[in-house]
Amino acid sequence: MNFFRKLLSIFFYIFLMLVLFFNFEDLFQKPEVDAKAFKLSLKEVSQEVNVDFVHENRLQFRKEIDNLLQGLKPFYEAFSASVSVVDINQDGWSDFFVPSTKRGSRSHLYINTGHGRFVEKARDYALDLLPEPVRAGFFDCDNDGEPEMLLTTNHCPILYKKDSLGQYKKIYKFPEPCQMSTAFNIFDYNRDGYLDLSVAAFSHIVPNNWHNSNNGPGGVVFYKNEGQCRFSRDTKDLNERNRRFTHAIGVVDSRNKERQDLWAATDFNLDRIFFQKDDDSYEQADEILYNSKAHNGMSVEPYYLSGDSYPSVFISQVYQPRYAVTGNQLWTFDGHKFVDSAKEQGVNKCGWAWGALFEDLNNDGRPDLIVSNGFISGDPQNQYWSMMNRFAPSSRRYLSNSINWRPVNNTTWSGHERDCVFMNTPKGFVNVSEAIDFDKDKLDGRGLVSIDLLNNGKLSVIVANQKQKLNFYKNETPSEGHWIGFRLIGKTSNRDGIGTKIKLKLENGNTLVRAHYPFNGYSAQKSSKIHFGLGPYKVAEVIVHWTNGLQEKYLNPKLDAYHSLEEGQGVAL
Amino acid sequence: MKGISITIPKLSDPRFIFLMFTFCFLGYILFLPGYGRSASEYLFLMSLCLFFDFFLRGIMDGKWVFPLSGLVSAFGLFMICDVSSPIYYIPMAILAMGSKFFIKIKSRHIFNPTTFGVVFTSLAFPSAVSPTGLLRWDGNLFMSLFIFICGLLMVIKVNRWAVSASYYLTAVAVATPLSFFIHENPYTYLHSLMWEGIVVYTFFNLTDPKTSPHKLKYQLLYGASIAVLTQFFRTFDMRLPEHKALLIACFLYAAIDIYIRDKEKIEVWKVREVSIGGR
Repeated sequence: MNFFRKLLSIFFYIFLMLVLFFNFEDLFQKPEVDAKAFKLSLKEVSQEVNVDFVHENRLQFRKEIDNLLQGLKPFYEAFSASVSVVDINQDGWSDFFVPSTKRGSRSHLYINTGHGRFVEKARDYALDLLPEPVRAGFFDCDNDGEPEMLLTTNHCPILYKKDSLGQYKKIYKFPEPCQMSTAFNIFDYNRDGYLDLSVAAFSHIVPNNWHNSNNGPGGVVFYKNEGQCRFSRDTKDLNERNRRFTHAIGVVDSRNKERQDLWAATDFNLDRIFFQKDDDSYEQADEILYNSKAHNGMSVEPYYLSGDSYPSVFISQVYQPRYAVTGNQLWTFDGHKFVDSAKEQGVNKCGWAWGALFEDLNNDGRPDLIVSNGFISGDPQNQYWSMMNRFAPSSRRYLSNSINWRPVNNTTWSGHERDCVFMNTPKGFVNVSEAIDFDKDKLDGRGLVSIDLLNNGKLSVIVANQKQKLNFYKNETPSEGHWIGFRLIGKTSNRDGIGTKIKLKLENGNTLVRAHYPFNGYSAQKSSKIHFGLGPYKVAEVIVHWTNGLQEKYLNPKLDAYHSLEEGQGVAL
Repeated sequence: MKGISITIPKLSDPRFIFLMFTFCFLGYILFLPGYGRSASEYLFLMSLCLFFDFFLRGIMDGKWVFPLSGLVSAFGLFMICDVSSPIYYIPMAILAMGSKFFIKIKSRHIFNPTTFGVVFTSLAFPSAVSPTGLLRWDGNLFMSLFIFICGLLMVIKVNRWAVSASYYLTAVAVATPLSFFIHENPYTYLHSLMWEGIVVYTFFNLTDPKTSPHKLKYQLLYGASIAVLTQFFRTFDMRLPEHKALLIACFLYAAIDIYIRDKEKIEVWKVREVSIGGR
């Protein structure tokens, strides 16, 4: 027995020594990734393509408190870099718009020349000087074929419409109360053929609790489109009483019931889920995430792994060793409950993650995942996380007063992080961003979109960085297969085809699915062109589910090209 | 056939007060959305701590004792640490309960098992274990008051009120002038002292009768030294300042006790023996 006791003691001391002097986590590190094996090339070419944009943001509070809040301004000014892809001149080439938030700073609209370069034309469209813009959403609210623009700002959202000279003019300012927001989604929730709005705010206040705050700016609000871009507040559909901090609203048919469920990425609390009922109203169903450990949702980006499965919903969260160890989540309905598989899929760790985007970068038939990250990059020696020790453990009352927070000033708060590029391989996702030297300057990424620069099926990536230069990554990856793209034109459904689901049946029997919700993700608008990588396979048939319930079929479409699908032109099912 | 005799603490054991409080509080936090932990996770950690406490004592001390310490430690570990996967509860439980049986001076364990488990597991697995789980407390002043009252009952019962009082008074006395030097709002630390996590720490972790001093004067010194060390660590923005201070104080006290022999007069709580099996 004595021998056994001694043996146990020795085992314990060895274990303790290992704990102290050996990095256990090295054992679980994935081996170095060979970038060549993936043949992925995303090259930062903003100068080459004539894009030169630096996002600016400077807040000015009321005189009496501006000085007091000076130290926290880097925090308040950290949420507004966005990017929107839109074919603003309807020439078939994707353009993009990037607002600059600081009052008096110029927003940029880059028009695609079709020759691999852009020209800046914001002034021509009267989009250069906007009132502290945060995020723009271009959508056709009157179904006339011309995109209107919803602009969220540091105050109330504003709706703009093109005039006869092609310039955007303010037509409606949403009424108070409203606050700074990156969280909106535009979709036809009542399926009446007009695009409606759902908006929530983040605001410029601090939370009163890190995981269960209840002093946010409010809940999700619906504005119903009465036609001709007249919006009225619709309070009966979503009666949310809780005051939450919302960064993003995602729309997804999360239970494959042909409904448009809402997922609200919520900071300092549980993310919220609203299931759409058969009468198009919503019921809150957060309890399914009740034991979720991550309470800092930043964006919502759904994708379909394959046609037969339920969509997975990626929610970007904060991952910071020593402080926030849960990371991103990937929720999938299994027929009974939602299961998080981010860790198993290898996508849970990506720093303080913001924007997320599923796109097939190498056309191998598997959507890859790009995630922007980094909160505030200041002096790397001066870490705000460790400074939080002093004031973070406090009562709600104390914490909710921003004067009690330590000044952020020039500290780093999950800054200098490299954005992630998770390649989707048969063995799961692999982060190759370091191997391909993606985001080598480690900027503070926010909104994130893909754009087909040359209409050749190779998707380039644009990352809007907070108070930093915009990065344009040209996709120079040799294609691993075919691709196909679609542009939707609704007739009785909304003209932009938002909410439409496209199913591709491939010749090998596989099905690929995408649902067109361009405002999912964080502070970004995706292209209206819906892209599929196909790998070596041809498409046998395309099935389109329009939002009004019409299902149509197209047979043997041409590969490696974009197609316009007009509602009513296919074979009705 | 010879049966096994299990030692069960009597109800007068002050750890039962802690357990009563534990179960009240456990119910509260499991229904608190921000806490983000499930009852099954707690049961898993509790089973591990009970297992290691029961069998390690059986093997190392030759006694089969109802693992009340394991129960108490499981709660402490569960409250303080966020883990990315429940698998990390295994090394946490091994370190916490192992410290009790393998790190001893004069046949007495020197570290509070919860504190030891928290500090060393978070050092070993920084990407997977985070003590910021502490921040999941609700920040509710009424809850702080409830914990304060429960804690007060317990420290009076175990005769360790001087440790808590000394800690509080010294913390205020040191933090207030210090705040001027480090440019901190002097109320910040006072608010932290009223926060639920610190109240639990002050009344339940600091006053572990097995690892804290017995005599009043040593208790006062012990509480004060932990408060000073905590302030020192806070000034340099170290993680887990309170727990690191407690570990150091426990070690120093155990080392000094070789000479001052304070622990020789330590109280022993009544137990009863129950035989299982045998004829």
